[in-house]
Amino acid sequence: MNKKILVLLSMLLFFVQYLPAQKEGFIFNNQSDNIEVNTLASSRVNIVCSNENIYKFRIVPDEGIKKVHFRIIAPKTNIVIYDNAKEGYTLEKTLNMQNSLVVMVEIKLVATEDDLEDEDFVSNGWVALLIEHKLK
Amino acid sequence: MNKFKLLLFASFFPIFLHSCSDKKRQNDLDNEKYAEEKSRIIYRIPSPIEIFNLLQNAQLDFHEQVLNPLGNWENYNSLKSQALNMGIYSADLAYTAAYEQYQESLLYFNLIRKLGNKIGIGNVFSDEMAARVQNNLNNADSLSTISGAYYKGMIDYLTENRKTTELALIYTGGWVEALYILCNTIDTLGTNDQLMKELADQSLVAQNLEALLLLDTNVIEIRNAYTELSPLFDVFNEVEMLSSEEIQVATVGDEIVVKGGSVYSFDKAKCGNLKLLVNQIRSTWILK
Repeated sequence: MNKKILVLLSMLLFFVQYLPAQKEGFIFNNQSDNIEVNTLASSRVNIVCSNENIYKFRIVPDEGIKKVHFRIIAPKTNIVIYDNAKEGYTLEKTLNMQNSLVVMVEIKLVATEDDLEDEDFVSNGWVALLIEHKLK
Repeated sequence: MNKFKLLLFASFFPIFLHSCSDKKRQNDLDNEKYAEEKSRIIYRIPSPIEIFNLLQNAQLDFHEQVLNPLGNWENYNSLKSQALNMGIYSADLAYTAAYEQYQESLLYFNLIRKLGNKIGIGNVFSDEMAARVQNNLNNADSLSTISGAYYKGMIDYLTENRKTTELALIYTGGWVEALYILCNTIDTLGTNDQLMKELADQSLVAQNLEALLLLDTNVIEIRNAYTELSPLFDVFNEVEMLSSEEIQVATVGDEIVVKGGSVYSFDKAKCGNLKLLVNQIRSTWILK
């Protein structure tokens, strides 16, 4: 585990949590996490979301990581609630749920064949999954 | 190739092959381990603070008698009791901070520092953080923020240092204490439909916690905690489903709106059963 990267990500997470979120009334949610990611397999995190809140999911990638594919899935039914590949790999989404729900956030790094041949391409690393919420 | 070289080659070739095969087997094992590790799902549990928001929204009063007495901490000598009660005291801290009980917050924070040292996670509680608590005793927002930051720091530390047993037990203790406080401070438990629905929503947390504990039942502390919690999981598994519709997703502006899913509730009898079980489990855990 690269502790330096983890410390940097944690610091980033700490600073990021109070700035834009507070403007919109969002507060930091403790289900946020630092997640190891790569191009081979998806990392998956199960989050409990209450219908009392609106949630903002944000991916903050480690320096050098190009594209992150993230999806939000209802794990019981496998219904895809959000897929950022359909929105140009945007790294932020807000969710408003009618009923409380467990969602699975699935994260993977994106690599083209050209990327994989590029010596400087970062094929694994860490991302911060930053979750914020505010009462409806 | 002369005879000697041939003999030498013939002698070492099987060793070479064996070594290659060992290396391949090791690589296969590494790949399998890697795939297994990657296929694991991380289960996150909301912090107790979120449950206490429900109490605040319902404008319920603070009840000091529901807190785990400070003096109990000296009884906790096993890893299981220390970690479970770390979660319990952390929930108590969040409860006192949410209700602006400044002196109690300070007492519980100091106690958590001491217990943290016993578990080997004393690094999380820096002198700087203690000073921040002391300096913000009259500021409810800051105290809640610090309480949240300390909880996050503890979870991050345990995650990064792969202390999965302590993490699972702290999550467990924190959730049970939050449920205990919820069940024992609502006078209208069993009659307030909205609170019963919100209590029933805890079945989603129960699902995540059960899945998290099941990942490590080879660890005796986790297996024992899981066994003790099983009746509680059963109650949540039998939660009444008021309605269930297929999930529908719509985009409204920048927001994804998720409609459908399931609506859960408890009836009065199940609420009573839940309270009884939570009280039993929690009273066992805080005594040893």
